[in-house]
Amino acid sequence: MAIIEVFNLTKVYTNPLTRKQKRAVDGISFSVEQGQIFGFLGPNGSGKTTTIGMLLDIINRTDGEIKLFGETNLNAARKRIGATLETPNFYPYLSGYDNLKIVAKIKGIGEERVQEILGIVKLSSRQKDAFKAYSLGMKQRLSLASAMLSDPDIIILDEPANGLDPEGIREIREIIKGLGRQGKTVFLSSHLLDEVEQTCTHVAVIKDGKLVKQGSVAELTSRNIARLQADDMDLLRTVLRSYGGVLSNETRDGAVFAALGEGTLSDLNRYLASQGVYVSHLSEARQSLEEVFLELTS
Amino acid sequence: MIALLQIELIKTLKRRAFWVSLGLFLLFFLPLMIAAFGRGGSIEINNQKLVSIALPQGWGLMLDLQGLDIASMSRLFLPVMVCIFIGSEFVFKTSRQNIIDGLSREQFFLAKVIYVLFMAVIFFVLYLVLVFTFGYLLIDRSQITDAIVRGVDVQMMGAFFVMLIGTGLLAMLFGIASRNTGTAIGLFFFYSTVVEQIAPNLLRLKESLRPIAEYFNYLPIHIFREIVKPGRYDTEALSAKFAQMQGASATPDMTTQTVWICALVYLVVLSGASYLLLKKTDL
Ligand SMILES: Nc1ncnc2c1ncn2[C@@H]1O[C@H](COP(=O)(O)OP(=O)(O)OP(=O)(O)O)[C@@H](O)[C@H]1O
Ligand SMILES: [Mg+2]
Repeated sequence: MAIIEVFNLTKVYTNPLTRKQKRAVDGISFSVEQGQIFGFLGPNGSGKTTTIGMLLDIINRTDGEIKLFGETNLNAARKRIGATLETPNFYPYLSGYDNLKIVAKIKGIGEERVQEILGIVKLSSRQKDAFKAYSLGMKQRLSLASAMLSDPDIIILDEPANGLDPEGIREIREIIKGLGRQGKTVFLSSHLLDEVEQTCTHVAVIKDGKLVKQGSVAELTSRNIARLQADDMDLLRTVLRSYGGVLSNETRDGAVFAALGEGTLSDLNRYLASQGVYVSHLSEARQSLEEVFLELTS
Repeated sequence: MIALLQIELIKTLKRRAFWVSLGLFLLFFLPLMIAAFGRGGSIEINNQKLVSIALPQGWGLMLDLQGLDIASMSRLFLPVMVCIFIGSEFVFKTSRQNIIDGLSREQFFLAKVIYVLFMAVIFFVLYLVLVFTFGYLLIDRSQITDAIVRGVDVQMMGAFFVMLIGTGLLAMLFGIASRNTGTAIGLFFFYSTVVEQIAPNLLRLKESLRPIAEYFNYLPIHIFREIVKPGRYDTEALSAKFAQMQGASATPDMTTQTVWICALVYLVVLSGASYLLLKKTDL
């Protein structure tokens, strides 16, 4: 069942003085199924935060439709969602505990859960300290704690690993994977591509406000890539360009990497031979998510 | 509703700015009233001896002392506190987080109104306690003629409470519009002095512009100042005594009915404007 559905979502920011318009999100559509860990990727300024802001009704959308749990009433849905947006937003003069107590009151849940969640994010010993005295990593943890406080069905995180040390990043990864195992739906934006590759089941890539790709991580990273070497590399590249089955190619580390469309490696080999190119090396190469990302967004 | 109030209470009572402001307020009035008490209740301003703060006259006297009264000081303290609290919701971005956590924009707005009401109650109670404590002790028991609280006093108290809510709502509007504590306070005082006082005074300098200046009397702060003038309610006892005071307007030029209607309209308009702003803008 699709638990987050977005159709033709658009946000145009208008500068109140110059009336200049900026299309931060430009007609994107996607859906997230229950139980997916969905990574929302894109370069700086591509519209990730704006999109999440619209999902949460913090940012008024210019156009488009959003359904959460199959409903268009986002106010009702938000109680079943835990989320963070951009930076941890808390009352700096209140303790971590009091800040979560406020969240608990908004969510309409009991105060006992506050203690429990503080333990999960390892903040119990600092719960009495004022939020402003926390380190960035501790602030992020508190943010995560507030998102998970009500044991929500959907968790939306905007760059949750921002500012965390390697140990902290690993902990967040474990927490997110744990949520996935419980059947929760997680929607997260991130720049840390290998993190996403390790934790997410699905991704969507946004660039300049438009979705350029979406699919499962397995699908995206198992694209048909051939690694080739030949005595005459220039001829190899020329012939590759003339072959309809090759979408693109680049030269790296003394080899040519060619992205294949439908065809198999044998098809490619047969064609090269027919054109008088005999390869000294031909193998399948897996693309990392980072490579896919850079290819899509550069 | 109860949860919203509880949340506002947690945020307010644990904030130092709240206690510091209340402390300053008391620091101003306690010495004034103790001094008056020492003189048998009479208050002097500009070397003019005024009526005693003994009850029941004390209720009205403490609302109109040429700027040194509880009403004028509340018009200073309450908006500053409202600007600080509501402006900081935007500075801390907790306005965002409250909504993310599940409040609707309507509930968030309601929470801010609850906060303004709460502050109004605080200042109202301070007024009651201060005036009652000192005023009661000073009652001349040999010649008790009046009740401690007369009908006119209740009217005055009602007017004071409306004034508190009104100034609070105006400050709330500035807080929501500017999304910043400092800017909100700055805007509020720019508005209340430059727009509401200096501008009409400049207009009055020129004969032909004088009629325009009169419209400025209908602006909110002026209305809220007018509504608490004790001379409107306690006409017999107070107006004579207040007439001694230089510059005190014992006979107001706007009818009390007009002032009340304007004040109540402002309560609605100011909250409505804040609500629309919150509803329309990105947080
Ligand atoms: N309030 C605003 N007014 C005008 N333009 C804005 C506003 N907020 C964001 N933008 C613009 O919208 C675009 C998308 O911004 P957004 O914050 O959504 O990007 P992002 O993908 O979250 O970037 P990052 O990875 O840096 O967090 C940017 O060009 C940004 O400058
Ligand atoms: Mg962002």
